[in-house]
Amino acid sequence: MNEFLEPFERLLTQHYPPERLRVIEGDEAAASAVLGAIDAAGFLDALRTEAEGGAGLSLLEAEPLLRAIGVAAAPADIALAMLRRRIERTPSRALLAVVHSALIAGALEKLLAFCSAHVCTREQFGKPLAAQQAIQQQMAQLAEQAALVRVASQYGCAGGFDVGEPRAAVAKHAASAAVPIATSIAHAVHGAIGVTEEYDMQLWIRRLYDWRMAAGSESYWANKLGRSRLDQAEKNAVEFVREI
Amino acid sequence: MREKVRALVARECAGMTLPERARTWMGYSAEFSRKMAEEGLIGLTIPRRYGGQGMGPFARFVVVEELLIAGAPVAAHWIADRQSAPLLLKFGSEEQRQRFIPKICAGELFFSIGMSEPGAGSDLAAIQSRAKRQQDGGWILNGRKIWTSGAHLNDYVIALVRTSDSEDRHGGMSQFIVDLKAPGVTIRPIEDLTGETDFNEIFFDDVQLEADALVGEDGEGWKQVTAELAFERSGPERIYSSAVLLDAWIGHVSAQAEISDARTTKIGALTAELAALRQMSIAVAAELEKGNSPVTEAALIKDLGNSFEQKIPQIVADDLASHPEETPNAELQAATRLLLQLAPSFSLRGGTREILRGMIARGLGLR
Ligand SMILES: Cc1cc2nc3c(=O)[nH]c(=O)nc-3n(C[C@H](O)[C@H](O)[C@H](O)COP(=O)(O)OP(=O)(O)OC[C@H]3O[C@@H](n4cnc5c(N)ncnc54)[C@H](O)[C@@H]3O)c2cc1C
Repeated sequence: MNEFLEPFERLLTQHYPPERLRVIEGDEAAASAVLGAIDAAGFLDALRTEAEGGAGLSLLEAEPLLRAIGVAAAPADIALAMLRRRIERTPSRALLAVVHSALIAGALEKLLAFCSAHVCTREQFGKPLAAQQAIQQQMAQLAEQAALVRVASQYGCAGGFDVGEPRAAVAKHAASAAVPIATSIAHAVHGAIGVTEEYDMQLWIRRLYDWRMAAGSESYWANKLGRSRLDQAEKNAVEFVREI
Repeated sequence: MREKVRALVARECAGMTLPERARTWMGYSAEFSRKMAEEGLIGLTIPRRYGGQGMGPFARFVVVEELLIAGAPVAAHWIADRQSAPLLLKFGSEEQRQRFIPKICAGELFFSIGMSEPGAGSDLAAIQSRAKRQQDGGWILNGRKIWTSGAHLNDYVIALVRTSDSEDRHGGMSQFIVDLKAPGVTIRPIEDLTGETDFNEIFFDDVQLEADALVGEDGEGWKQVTAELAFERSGPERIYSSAVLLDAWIGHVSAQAEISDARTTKIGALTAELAALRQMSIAVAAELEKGNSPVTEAALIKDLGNSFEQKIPQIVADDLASHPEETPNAELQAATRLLLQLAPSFSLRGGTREILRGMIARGLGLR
């Protein structure tokens, strides 16, 4: 797996620098041209079976690649193209939800990096913001969300291409619910610079809003999971979640 | 493993009421702890030569999870099993290990944690209790501890006290095993807001300690308690403190003829959170299995887990009272009231929310 990850990350950084991200957001032709370059490097075949000339990765093995897309704020279309080359039918909503959990996990990693860098360098009252306890407490909460969603993404991807709705619900609920918490903190610790066009964090913020809503928000999935929990109310919580 | 615990719980806890079960790891029964020991369920991660089972953190995870979800009364052996035995294994002398650990695993000796003092809560390094070394190598202990869970019922307390003055705030502290029945030890139970007695104040007046009461090295107490607190924070008990109530509430809702979407969504959201936190807790167990001490991860999951446990009674209370047409049974109402009162302690015991977040910030390199 690792042998794919590093070149893939390099490729993404090369093809999706912030200037280009700004362009392709509103320009489909430009977006598909870049996607063509990713394809040319062979990465869209990561999930395609080996018999068909792909790398044959399982969804769990590919999870770091999906997360890398999020880290780069690259389009979800990369992930969707990978999926289409593995499964014939249209991907289920559950599978799409899991894939978006991984994208969110990646974008949250990057958001945390933006914030850490900013609070360690920006000084007010004669010291870095990071020295303020109120900032530290918020940063800790942001780190908690990033860690939780990462685990949730791996858990979702462990369900494979036929992932069931309950497992997808756990993953996407965690990921989508993290978005309002994490984005509010990220904006809060940045101050005014965070709401400018010029500051690149906005590219990740907007992806997070989109991905939170893609393939069902937190309440959509909570409702689904709630139904199946109520149908099996005779079980205790541990029995129920172990069977997901 | 799972089946063994389930069978034990089914046998021993059948008569417990919902409010009794809702106390989870605050419920105290020496008898239940001895039954667990008979089944080989205490000291799971302790080597066999000290009376344990020689298993890994995953076995412990499974057993703890099954006990908590059932609301079994585990408080008697909880601290000895989770903290004291691993501490003695790691830092104790061979003689101390032989003397205490097999009896802990047999459910015969119960321990308390003596860290907090009236002037030293979050700022644990501010402790004032002091042990002075005597000519014969023994020690004389003076001072007091507070909030000591179970001290009125347990056999020993492992106390963190000063043994020398040190320039370094974290220097000059040591840990001692103190017999709670020893002369000079006075225990004053402190009633909690629910009318129960869990914690105590302990006074040490010229308590004589043998030389071998010292655990580990003189002056290394801070390092030792830091390791001990990582054992304390990393377990699944940080997710399940309100799980008995959650299940009972789900049972109540499922029995209604009509269930609104909003209610279903709330139940699903809490279930999803529980499942995700459980995965995090499993990831921490995997780190422990590899021999790592995941201090930041343990703080992270404790904080997330505490917030989850704390919101359950609030959500249940709001939900029950927004359906006046229903008649939830008296036990569900009593358990809700009980957990509303207990839940604030979840983010105090074992390190407060603010302190844990400070540790996470340190892990992020911010301080
Ligand atoms: C049910 C229960 C059981 C317990 N059992 C035991 C036991 O068995 N043994 C034992 O030794 N102790 C025990 N404790 C004590 C527990 O460890 C302490 O309550 C805890 O460490 C906090 O100390 P404190 O209560 O003195 O609060 P304080 O330290 O006075 O804190 C009060 C508030 O101030 C905040 N605060 C303090 N310092 C800072 C800071 N630097 N930055 C930001 N905020 C800060 C805290 O986060 C908290 O919100 C128990 C507590 C409870 C509630």
